[in-house]
Amino acid sequence: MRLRDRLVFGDEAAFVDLYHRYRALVYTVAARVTRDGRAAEDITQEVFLTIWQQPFAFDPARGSLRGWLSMIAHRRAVDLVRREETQRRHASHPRLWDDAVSRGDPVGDQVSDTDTARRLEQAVRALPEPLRHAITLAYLHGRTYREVAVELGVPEGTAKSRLREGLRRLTVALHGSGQT
Amino acid sequence: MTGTDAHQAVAQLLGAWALQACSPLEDSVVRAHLHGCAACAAEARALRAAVEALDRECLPPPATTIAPLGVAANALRRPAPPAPPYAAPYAAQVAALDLMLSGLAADDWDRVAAYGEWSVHDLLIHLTATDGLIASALGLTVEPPVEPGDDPVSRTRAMLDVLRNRSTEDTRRSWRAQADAVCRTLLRHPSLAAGTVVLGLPLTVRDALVARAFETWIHIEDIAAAAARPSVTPLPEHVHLMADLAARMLPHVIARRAVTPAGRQVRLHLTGPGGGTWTVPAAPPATALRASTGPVELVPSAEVIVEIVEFCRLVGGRREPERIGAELRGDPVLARELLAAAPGLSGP
Repeated sequence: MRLRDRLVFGDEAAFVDLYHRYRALVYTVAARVTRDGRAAEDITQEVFLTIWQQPFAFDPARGSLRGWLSMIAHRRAVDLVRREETQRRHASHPRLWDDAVSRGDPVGDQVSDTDTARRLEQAVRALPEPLRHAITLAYLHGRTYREVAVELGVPEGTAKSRLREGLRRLTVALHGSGQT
Repeated sequence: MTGTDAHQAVAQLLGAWALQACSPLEDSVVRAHLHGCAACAAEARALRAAVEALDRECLPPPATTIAPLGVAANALRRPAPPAPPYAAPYAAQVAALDLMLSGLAADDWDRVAAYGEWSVHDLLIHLTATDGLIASALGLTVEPPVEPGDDPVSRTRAMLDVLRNRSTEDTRRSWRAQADAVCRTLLRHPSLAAGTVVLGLPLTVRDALVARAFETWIHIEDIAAAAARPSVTPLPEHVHLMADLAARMLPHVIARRAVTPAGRQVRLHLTGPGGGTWTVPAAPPATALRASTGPVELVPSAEVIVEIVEFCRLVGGRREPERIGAELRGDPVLARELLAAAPGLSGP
């Protein structure tokens, strides 16, 4: 309750609680963008230090703490990637997906060699381009469906249905091959 | 919207919802709908599972401990000082004020923040002076030493003369160090809680710490208004203690203002988080006892219903009794008397 306010009041236990609750989310967002486990860890630290030092930077009236943390993590990660002048990520042409799930990247390496991972990867690659583009924007870049609609120049209803259909196909790939 | 329309709207949102790509409002609409719709709930589970599978396959967070982060956090901003439960509201306000002060620009410190003349710097000196009365009573060394008969006003005056010319950073450091030392001392010596401190009125140490939390918060709001900074109201469990202290002290100030027949009572309903109901005698116990002819009423003569944070601001002298949004029942004269007396609890 009033987690942000507890941070204002210097409540260390609330900070620890916040960290345990959202660490995986923040890390995941940062790792999606940077594809670098160590960089994602650094960003995770930075994000939590930011809200501890400046709890008023988050305004509960304007959205969820979860959404804010992932937005900040995303922004930091993008800054980092741009700073390092890696050409892998371009907001208007998100092609990161192919890299992020591929073998050999530091994050994916940790678990990727499983049957499920392979099926998932194939399913993502098999998605028709409009579906994959929409999912990539929402999943990798933390966009809302309204932002997805604007970015793709389609009606909001279309963005919603592409996200739903894209995920449905992944679900089928996960469970539909008789190996689950 | 009919049930079918609502169902359609939510069903279309499920993909976006599973990807956390909805607005917070839509998120809660979907969640509410899922409770009653088995079909949507099943689809939502499956879609969420796909997103979680993506997370698992791509991005498992490494196992780490919070220890290094805790150390780094502490170096950037000190947490509230550890304190016994009755001093937790004070420790919390100290941390909140320190946070606010850390973000002030040099010219913010000169802004007039209270009573038409005190700057932000002056207010912090004033808080340091009054906190010093407690620190001194606990046996801590304070500078300058507390003189016999010192009260918040006299000590503030003495310290303003000395400290106004020092740097704001010095004032902030000594205020915070003293606050931390008070909390630390109380934590080490539980028996101190029952001791007495004179802050204008004699109070138990326990009550005095609640009073300090109260005043620190009121001045945080003063500084926030003067320097256009955000602030938050006390936590429900903290504002409850502040209101409770005010309700217990109210009979003294009601009696000071007017002659009310002994034995009359006002029921005070404070609404909102941390709220509660108090029965406030219209005269302090000693007076009521002397006038033993009139038995204490079982039914209060008046009721005052008001939001708890607004009530505390009234007590803190930051609201007008005539203009506060209160609902009065029963004897209107007595009810208004309680509201009119409330600001009398606050000194400078």
